[in-house]
Amino acid sequence: MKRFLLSLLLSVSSLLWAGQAAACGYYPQGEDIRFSMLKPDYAMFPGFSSFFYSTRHFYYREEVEGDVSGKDSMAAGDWQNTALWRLRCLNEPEAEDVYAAVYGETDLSKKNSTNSFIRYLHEHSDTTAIQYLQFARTCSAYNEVVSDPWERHEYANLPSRHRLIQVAAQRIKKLEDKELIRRYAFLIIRLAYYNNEADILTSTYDTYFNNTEEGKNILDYWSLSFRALIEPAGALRNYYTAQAFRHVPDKRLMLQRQYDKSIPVNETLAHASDKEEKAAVWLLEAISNPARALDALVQLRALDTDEEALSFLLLREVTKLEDWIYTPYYTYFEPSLQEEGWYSLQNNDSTFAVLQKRIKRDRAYAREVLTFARQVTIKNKAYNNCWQVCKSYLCLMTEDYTGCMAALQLLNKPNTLDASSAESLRLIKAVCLIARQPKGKTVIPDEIKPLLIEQFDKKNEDFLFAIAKELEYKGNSTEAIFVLSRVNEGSGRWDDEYVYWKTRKMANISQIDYCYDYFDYMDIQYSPAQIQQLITTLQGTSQTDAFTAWKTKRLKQDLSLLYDLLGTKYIRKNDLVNALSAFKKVSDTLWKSEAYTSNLDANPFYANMYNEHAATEGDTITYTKKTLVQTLLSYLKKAEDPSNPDRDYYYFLVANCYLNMTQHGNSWMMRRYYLNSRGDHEHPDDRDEFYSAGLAQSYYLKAKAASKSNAFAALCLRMAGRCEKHRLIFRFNCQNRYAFYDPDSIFESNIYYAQLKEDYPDDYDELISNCMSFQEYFNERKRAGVRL
Amino acid sequence: MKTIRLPFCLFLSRFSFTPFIILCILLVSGSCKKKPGGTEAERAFYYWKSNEYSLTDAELNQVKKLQPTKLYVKFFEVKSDSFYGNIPDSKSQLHMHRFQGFSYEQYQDSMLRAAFNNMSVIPVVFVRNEVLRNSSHGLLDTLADNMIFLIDKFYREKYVNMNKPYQEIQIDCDWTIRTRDQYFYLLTQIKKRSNKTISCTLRLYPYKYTDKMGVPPVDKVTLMCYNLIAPLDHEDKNSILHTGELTAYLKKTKPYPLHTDIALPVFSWMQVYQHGQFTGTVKAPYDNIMPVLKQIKPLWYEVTEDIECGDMYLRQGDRIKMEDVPGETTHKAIELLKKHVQLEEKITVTLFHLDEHELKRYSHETLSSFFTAFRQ
Repeated sequence: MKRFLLSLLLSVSSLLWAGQAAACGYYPQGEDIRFSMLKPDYAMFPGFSSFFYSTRHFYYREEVEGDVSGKDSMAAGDWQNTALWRLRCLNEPEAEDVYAAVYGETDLSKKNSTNSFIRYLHEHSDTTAIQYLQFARTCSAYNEVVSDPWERHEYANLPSRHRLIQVAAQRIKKLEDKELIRRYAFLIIRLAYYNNEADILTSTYDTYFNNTEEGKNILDYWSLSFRALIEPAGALRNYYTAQAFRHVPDKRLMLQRQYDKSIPVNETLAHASDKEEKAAVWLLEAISNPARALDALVQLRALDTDEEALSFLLLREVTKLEDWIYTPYYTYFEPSLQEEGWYSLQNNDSTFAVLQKRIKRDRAYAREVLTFARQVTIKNKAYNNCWQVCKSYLCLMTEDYTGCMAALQLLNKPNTLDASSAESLRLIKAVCLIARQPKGKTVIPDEIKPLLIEQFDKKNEDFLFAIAKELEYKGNSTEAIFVLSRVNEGSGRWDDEYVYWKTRKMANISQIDYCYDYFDYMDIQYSPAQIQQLITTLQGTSQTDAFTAWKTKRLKQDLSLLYDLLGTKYIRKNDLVNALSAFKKVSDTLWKSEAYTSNLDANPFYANMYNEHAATEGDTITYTKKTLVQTLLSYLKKAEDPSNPDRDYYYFLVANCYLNMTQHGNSWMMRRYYLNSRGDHEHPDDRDEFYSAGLAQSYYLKAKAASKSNAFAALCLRMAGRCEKHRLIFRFNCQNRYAFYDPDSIFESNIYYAQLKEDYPDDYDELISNCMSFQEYFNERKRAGVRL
Repeated sequence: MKTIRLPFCLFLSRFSFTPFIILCILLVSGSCKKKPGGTEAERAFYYWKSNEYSLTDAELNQVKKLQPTKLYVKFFEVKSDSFYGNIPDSKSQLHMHRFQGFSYEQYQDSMLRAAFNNMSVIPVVFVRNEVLRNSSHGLLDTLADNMIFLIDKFYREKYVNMNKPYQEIQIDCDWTIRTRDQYFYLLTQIKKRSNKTISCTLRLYPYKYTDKMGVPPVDKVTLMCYNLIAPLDHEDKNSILHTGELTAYLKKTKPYPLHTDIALPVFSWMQVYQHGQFTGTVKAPYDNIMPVLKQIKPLWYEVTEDIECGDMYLRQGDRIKMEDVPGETTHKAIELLKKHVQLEEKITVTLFHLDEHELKRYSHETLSSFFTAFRQ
C-alpha cells in the first residue's frame, strides 16, 4: 500500500512517463558514466598530469600516484632553475641544498651554513647572488594577484610591489653579472604582471629576453609565459603560449587555459621560425582538442622526436576512444565527454541507432589511430610499453580480435613489461577472449577467472561490467548475471568506479532510466525464461572452486528474491499458475521482511470508487504474494463456474484485485518493486495494464453481466468507468509529454460513464457525485436475494 | 531672526570706514548666533555597524517614530597596511533599496520607503591616525581619490532608489597635532575632488584648543560630546559622558569659527576586568548578564556566576565597569552646550548610534527630547 519513495504528485509523474529526462535531482554524468577499464601509469607523464582525459577539467596532480622523476612534477621548472644555480657554482653544491636555499627559508647569511650552496656562495664571496636571493624571497610574497580593496579594478596595483620593481631596476643598473641581470629582469616581469603594469613587463621582456639567440633556459621561458599572459588574444599570443607551454611544465595548465582554439592553427604557425617552435604549436593544439586530434599527432611526429609528449597524446587519444566507443556500447549512455558538444539525446530507439552509428564511426577512427601508431617506433622502454598497450586496445576497439591477440603476444615476454602495462594487457586480453567467441557458445575461459576475482578486489567495476556485457551480447545471459551480480559490490555509490548503465527496454518510458544493480536490471531486461535458466543453473552448481564460489555468492543469498522476481514477471504476463509456482518457492522469511509487509499491508480484494493507497475499512486481512495469487485463482474459479449464483460477486472481487495490483491500488507491489511519483524503473511488459487497469475493467464488466441486481450492475459500470478514466489519462500522458490533462475532457470521453447515464439515469448522479454511495450500491446485491 | 548674508557683502563693497565695518561684523555675527527662540535641532543618527545588511524592524520603527532627516552611515574605515598601503576596512554592508520578491522584503521595503521619505544618507569615513602618519601628499592625493570613488560606488550600489544624490561627506578621525597637516591636506583634497559639503567630527580637545590644533578646512564640524576621557584611566568616572569634564572643555573665550553641529551619545558598554586586567568589552543587549551581576559601587559590578557572554567567558569574581548615559545626564550636557557653545539657529543633532538594543534603553519621549531640548 505504501510507496517506497514519493507517492504524491501523480500528475507530475504522468508528465514524465512519456520520455526520459534529467529534469531534476541526481542523474549520472561525467565521470559517473565514463567507461574507463584501463588504469594507465600516468606517472610516466609528469609534465602532462593536468591533461589526462577526464570530464573533470583536469586531474589534480595528487590523483597521480608515483612520480618517475622523484621530484614534484609541478615544480619541474624550479628544478631547472636549481640546475642553473648549481651551474653557477660549477655543480659543486648538492641540488637539494640549492633547492632548499632558493625555495626554502634557509638562512642565507650564515657563512658556516650546513647548506652547501649557501656555504659555497660565501666562500666565493658571491654577495651579489646572496643579495639577489634575499631580494627574490621578499618578492615571492607578492606573487599573486590580489583583489583591489578600493574596488576600482579587479586586481590591485600595490605601491609596495611597484617599489620592489624600482629596486630591481636600480640593481640591474649597477650589475655586470649577466645572469643576475636576467634574474632581476625576470623578477621585474613577474612583479609587473601581478601589479598590472603591462608596459613595464613588455619593455623588460623586450630588453632582456626577446633576443636571446641561443642557450635559452628556464628564465627565458618563465618570462615568456608572463609575456604570453598579457598579449592580447590572437595568433601571436597563441604562439607565445605554445612556446612557453612546451618548456614550462609547471605553468602548463594556466597557459593551456588561455590558448585560443578559435584561431586557425596556420596563423599561429606563421609566427614559428623552426621545427621545434612549430612542434610546440602542434603540441598545444593537440592538448587543447577534446575531439579527434590525430592530425596534430601526425604533425608533431613529423616535427619533433619528443617521445613523452607523443606517447602521452596517443594515450589520451586512446582514452578518448575508450569513452566514445565503450561508454555507449556497454552502458547505453552517451560518451561522457562528447565529441560533438554537450547536448542531451532522447533515450529512445532512434537514439540507440544514433549511438550505434557513432560507435561505428569511432571504431573507424580507432583504426586510423592504430595505423598511425603502428608506423611509429618508440625507443624509450616505458613509453614503448605504453604504445603496445594502446595498440592492443585499439585492435580490440576495432573488433580486430586476431590482431589484438597477436599484439598481446607481448604478455609472453614478461621481462619487457612493467606491472601496469602487463595488467592493462591482461584486461584487454580478457575482454578479447570473450568478445571473439561465437554467439551462443560463449563461456568464461578459465584463463580469466582469477583475473575477475583480482579485479573485483581492486574495485575495477568497469572491467567486470565489460565482461558481463560481452557475455550478454554473446547470448550467455546466465553467466552475464553471475558476473553482473558482483559489479558495484565493492564501490560506494559516489565513487568514480561505480557503474551506471541503461537498458534499451527502459528507453523512453522512465524518468530514472538507468540501473546500478543486477536485480533492477533483470527486473527490466530479463524474461521469465532467462530468470528460470539462471535459477536452474544456480541450483545445479555443485563446483566448489574459488571462481564458482565468487560468482554465485550474491545470487545464492538472493535466491528467494529471484523466485519472487520470476513470479512477479509471470504476474505481469497474467500467468497466475506459473506465478504461484514461483511464489511457492520463496521463503517465508522474505514475505515477512519489512519491504513486503509494509507494502502488502492491505486487502487487495477490496476497492471502492475512489480509494487508491490509503487504508480502508476493507483492510481486515492481508496477503503475501503467494496467498494473494492462491486466493485470486480460487475466486476466478468460482466466478467462472456457471452454476455459481454469486458469480457477479466473485468477478467483482477479482476485478478489485486486478485494480489494486495497478498504480492505482493498494497492492501495486505485485507488479513493481519501486513506486514513486517519477515513475522510476518502468516496465514495458505490462506498462499499459499497470496504468490503465484493463484487466480490472474487463472483470467489472463481467460482474455487471452476471449481476441480477440493477443497482449492483450500475456500480460495476461505475467501477469500469473508473478504470476507463485511468486509461484515458494514461493515453493522454503518453501522447502529451508537457501538458496537463483536462479532467472535464477526460470525463466526457468516458464511454462507461455515458453508458451509466443512459442505462441507469436514476442512479447516475448518486454514483458519480456521492462518494458515500458505494457501500449502499454494493449492498443492493443482497437485497436482490443473492447469498453473499 | 533672519541671517543677513547678502547685505553684509554689499555693505563691504560700498564703505571702507573701518570702525563701522567692525561694528557691522559684530552685528552680523551676532545676528547669526543669537537665538532668543532657541536652536532648531535637525534630527540625525549615526549608523556605525559594518556587518548588517539592513536595518532591523526595531530600528526602522525608531526611524519612523523619531523622523530623523539625516542618517550618517559609516561607509568604511581607512587603515594602513604594509602590503597594500592605505586601504578601506570594515566596509559597510548596509543596503537601502527597494526589494522585490518575498513578502518580508516587500514589507521591509514599504517600511524603508516610509522611513526614508524625507531622510538623507550622509557617508562617513573613519580615517585611522596611522594612515596620516605614514602618508606623503602624493599618497593622500591617491587616498582622497580612492575614498571618493568608493563612497560613490557604495552609494550607487547600496542606496538604490534614494532618489537623491548625497550632498555631504563626513570624515571622522582622531587626529593629533603631529598629523594635523596631513589631515587638513587630506580634507582639502576630498573637498576639491568631490565638490560636496565636507564636514568632520571634532573632539572636544581641538574644539577647546583652536589656536594650538588649528581649524580643519571643512564646511562644518560635528562636536562629539562623548568619549571625553580614556576609558580605562578614571575608575570612578563615566568615560562616555562626564558632565564635569564636558564643562571644562566647553568653557572657552572664543566661539568656534565653523558651523558646529552636535553629536550626543546613546550607547553603553561594559568593560570587563579579569584578575585586575582589562580584557574586553560587552555590548548591549545585557539581558542575560545582568542577573549575574552584583553592584559593588557606582559604575562597578562583580560577576556572581560563570557565564558565557558573546565571545567572552566571564568567571565568578570578574569585575565589570558598566557605562551608559542616562537621559538626565544627556539633558545636563545639552544645557551645558546651550550655555557655552555659540550654536547657530539651526544645527544638526546626531545621536550615536542607531542600534535597537541601545535605543530601547530610552523611551521615545526621552529620545525625542534630546532634539527638542535645544529649542527650549
